[in-house]
Amino acid sequence: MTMRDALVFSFFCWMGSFAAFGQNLTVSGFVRDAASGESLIGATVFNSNQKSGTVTNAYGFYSITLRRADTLGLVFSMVGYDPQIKKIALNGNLSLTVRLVESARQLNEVTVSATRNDDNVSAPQMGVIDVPMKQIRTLPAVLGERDVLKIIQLLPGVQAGQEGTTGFFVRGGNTDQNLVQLDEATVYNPSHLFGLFSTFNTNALKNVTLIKGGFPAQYGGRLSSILDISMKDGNNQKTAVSGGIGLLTSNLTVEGPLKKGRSSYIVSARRSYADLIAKPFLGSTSYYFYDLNAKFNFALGQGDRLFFSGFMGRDKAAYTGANSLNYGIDFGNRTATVRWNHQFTSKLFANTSLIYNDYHLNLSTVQNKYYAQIYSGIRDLNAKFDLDYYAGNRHKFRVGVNYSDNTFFPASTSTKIPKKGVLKVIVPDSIPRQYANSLAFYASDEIKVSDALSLSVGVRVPTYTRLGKSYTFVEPRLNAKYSLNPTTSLKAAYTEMNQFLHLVPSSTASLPTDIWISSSPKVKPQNSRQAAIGLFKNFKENAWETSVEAYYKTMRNQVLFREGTQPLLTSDIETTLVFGKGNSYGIEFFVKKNVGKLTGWVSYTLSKTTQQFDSLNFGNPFPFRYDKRHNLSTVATYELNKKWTLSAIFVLSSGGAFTLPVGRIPVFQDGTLYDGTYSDYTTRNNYRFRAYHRLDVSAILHQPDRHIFKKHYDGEWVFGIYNLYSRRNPYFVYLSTDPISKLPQAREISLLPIIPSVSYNFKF
Amino acid sequence: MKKTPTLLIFSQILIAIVGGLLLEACQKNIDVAPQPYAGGVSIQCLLNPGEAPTLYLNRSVPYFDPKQTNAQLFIRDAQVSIATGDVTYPLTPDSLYNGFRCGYEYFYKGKSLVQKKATYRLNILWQGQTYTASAMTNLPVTPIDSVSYVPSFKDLYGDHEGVVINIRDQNCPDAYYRYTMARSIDSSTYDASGIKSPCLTDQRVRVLEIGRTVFPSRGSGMLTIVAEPTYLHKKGDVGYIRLQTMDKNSFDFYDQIDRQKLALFNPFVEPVFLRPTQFPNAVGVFGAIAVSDSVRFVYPE
Repeated sequence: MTMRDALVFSFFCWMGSFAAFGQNLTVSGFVRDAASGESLIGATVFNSNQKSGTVTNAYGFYSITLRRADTLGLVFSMVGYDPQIKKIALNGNLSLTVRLVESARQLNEVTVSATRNDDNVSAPQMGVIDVPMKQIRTLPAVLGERDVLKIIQLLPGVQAGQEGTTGFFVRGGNTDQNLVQLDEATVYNPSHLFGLFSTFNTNALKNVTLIKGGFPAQYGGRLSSILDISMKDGNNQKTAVSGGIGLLTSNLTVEGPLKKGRSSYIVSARRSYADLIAKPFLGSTSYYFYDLNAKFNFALGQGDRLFFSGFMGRDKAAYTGANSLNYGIDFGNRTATVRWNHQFTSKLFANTSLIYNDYHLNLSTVQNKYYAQIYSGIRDLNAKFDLDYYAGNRHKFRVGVNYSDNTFFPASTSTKIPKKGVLKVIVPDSIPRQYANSLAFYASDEIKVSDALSLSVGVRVPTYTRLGKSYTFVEPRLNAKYSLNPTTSLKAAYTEMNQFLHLVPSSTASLPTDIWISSSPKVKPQNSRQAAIGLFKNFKENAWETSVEAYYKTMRNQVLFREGTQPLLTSDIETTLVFGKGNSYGIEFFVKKNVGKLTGWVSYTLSKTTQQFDSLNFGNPFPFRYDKRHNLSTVATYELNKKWTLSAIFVLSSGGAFTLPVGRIPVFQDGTLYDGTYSDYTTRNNYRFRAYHRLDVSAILHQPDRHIFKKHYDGEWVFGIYNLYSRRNPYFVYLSTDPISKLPQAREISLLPIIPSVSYNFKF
Repeated sequence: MKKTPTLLIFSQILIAIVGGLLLEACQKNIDVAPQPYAGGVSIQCLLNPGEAPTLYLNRSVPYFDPKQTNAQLFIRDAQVSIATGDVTYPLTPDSLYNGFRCGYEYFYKGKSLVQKKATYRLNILWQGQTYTASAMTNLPVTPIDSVSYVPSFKDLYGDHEGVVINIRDQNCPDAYYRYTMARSIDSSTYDASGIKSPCLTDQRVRVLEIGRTVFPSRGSGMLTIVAEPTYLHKKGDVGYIRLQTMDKNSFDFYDQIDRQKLALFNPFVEPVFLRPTQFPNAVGVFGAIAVSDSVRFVYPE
């Protein structure tokens, strides 16, 4: 039998497996929030008699195929909502839209445990974490701002960088290996204020999902994680206004129906105003950021819906201050997405998206009399088509195609500050453009082999082309789940990923020196292979979730700057790079309590990440800059009474790695610019910062059912303290030499001390 | 929304506090735990025909070790010799007072002058270890064509003043160039980083500035080298400039040091690890140079 015959035979066997379910009937529709009409992502639809279930997709759509029966009970549930049980007579295919009612704040143990979500155990995918938006609203805020990325950093396998740096690091990957998407549009820099806030205004968000392993085939282009964020669609029942007034920022969200029950809009804006109201205190320092989210959706008919969404965020800062550090930074993301949902049949759901995004970062800085400027610009145009086919209760098939057109314009320069004259700076319009495009096809199938065994099998085939050079890869994706009993499952995953973008990190500079470059004939795509296994166990009817996951990941074509590389306006960045490999392995423990007065989680990760480059560190492996052996996060929320909610976050992690010479060799050949000594480095990243730890606390005073101008509203005061005991966590270390004694000294900079905050939130 | 004005006032007060805390980033000296370091040996010897051989032999120390004086780091109990043909010349410890750095510099010195067009073998025996290398003194002298001055010059090191040296390049692929300037400086003289010598009073001392950068030959034709002076100066100060033509071993060593220093000064440059070049068990160089006649140079400002 040839390979072709084998493939044809397999295809017909696979199609034949659907025929067995030809006499079954299908229930399909949407699950929505009863009050706002928002579609609910990840809601569970379950029939206990036939032990069959599904979850809603990114648009709230579900389709479940069941054996014919006189009456059937379907349970619709979602975290934070009261479950609904629908009894239906199943005479033919049925279209059923269900509206779930949001749960009131619970002070007592919740009793609907039988319907509580157990996706962590039952879903075949592993390494997928849905971040509860409700929980985000109760956790300690930094300067009054609740933050999605701060919560992400508290999950197992995820860690923050140093204070003052952006991004997060997943399973030994660099920040560029995380694909952050807002309504499918890539957000290249998801942070405000050097990572203190994320660019995402929580009031405008509906759902946040982090995938750190076992990647579904529809996702690609990054090695380490996918952070998939969906904006709210807007309230299609009534106009609602919510907002918050904080120390540094205020935000306002307006949403309402364009046509009640069918079409809606949401507009949400946030701006910092320290530059306006605290100008007298800030001197030559100035800073502001803003972000604006807007989304409109229209129901075009029974099976069609159109979405327009956009996001715009910008940071602009100048800091002239102590410690020889001067910043000037201007960066921003702009995205626009048009999506069209079409439901062909009760089993066939399609989405077509057109996406535009634009990112720029312009960073200039002065440190130790040296000037550096980095400009990174990216512009993407994407077209996507995804098709979900709910073939039966044993198969859920998904295929899609994604075309992307990318334009990059990176540049950097570094020079000693001239004694006189004008610095030569980067002019963005003069940077040569780099053009690339990519095309990816994918197909996947979720297969319920038996009640115990489920598989998710997929393949993605991306092709990337730049300067006439094309790279094509076949990326297998495999997830398997075996249920040991109804509350325990064993999962395994294997995935391969390729990445055509590279963020070249500097090992020494203490600033977010993001330079994005694309793969090219000289720069090969990054590649990773990750295998993971995990044991998932829930207790007390899903009130407690626990898991242990172990992973091993190899990464190829990792990029760093060549030793001694000095960014120059005239230099071609690609010629300054060196390429190597990395590997990361670790074990992650997670315990989460979902119900009761006290909720929260504890996560602990033990991991090790190394890199190896032929031309660095004498060719020997060395620790990744953000290799932190131990990572502990504790998150707790306590409902004290109807008025007060208390919460706390404690994080403890090993220090990151940095490089210092270990030896000093004298040069006494008269007075030279060698300064008397040169340095003997033996190992890259041979030193560790002190351990990082921090405790944040907050208290929320709920003020429901208040009135102003005869209008009813809910209010809340949020009091918070970031870094309660004012731990001076290290930011970076640099060397200096005593000018007279010539003795070297190490100096450590730390950034964020204790920071109190207060904000007031309201919702009409 | 009656509360807003109160909140604003509260915000302003808190922003002032928080802003103050944020801007007052903490900086402190820290003790860095020493890492195991097998101290190495540093060897520097450039043979110049017509001069007695001078060899600097020092031990390296852990980076934060307080031992840092010349006397503490100089290896004085080694057996050092150079040989050419069948003749071996021992080098013995010697010293010279550096008036600017306020201390003695220690080195090994030979008594016989280095010959032209000869191959020398270096042999150092210290604490059971042997360090050997060889060098040939066959480099041609490259005369300086002219010298001038520019108040502002941009290169890898940024914008600085420069002494401009024009030379006729040797048609020799293994020739590399470095400048030196002998000067007499007084107590008003500071080095490039603005540091004044702690011991100079009214006396004048002789210093030798050695260019950091070593320039490779580009073939025949005129070649211009622009060097940043080490010490500050004033109009009318006189220096005597020479050009060293050096071999590839010397270039490999000094180029590494130059790139490393650049990385140390500029926080945006990746650190450079020194790799052994000539000596498998030591850092350093045993090379040959040919030094031009001096050219008198007067600072115009």
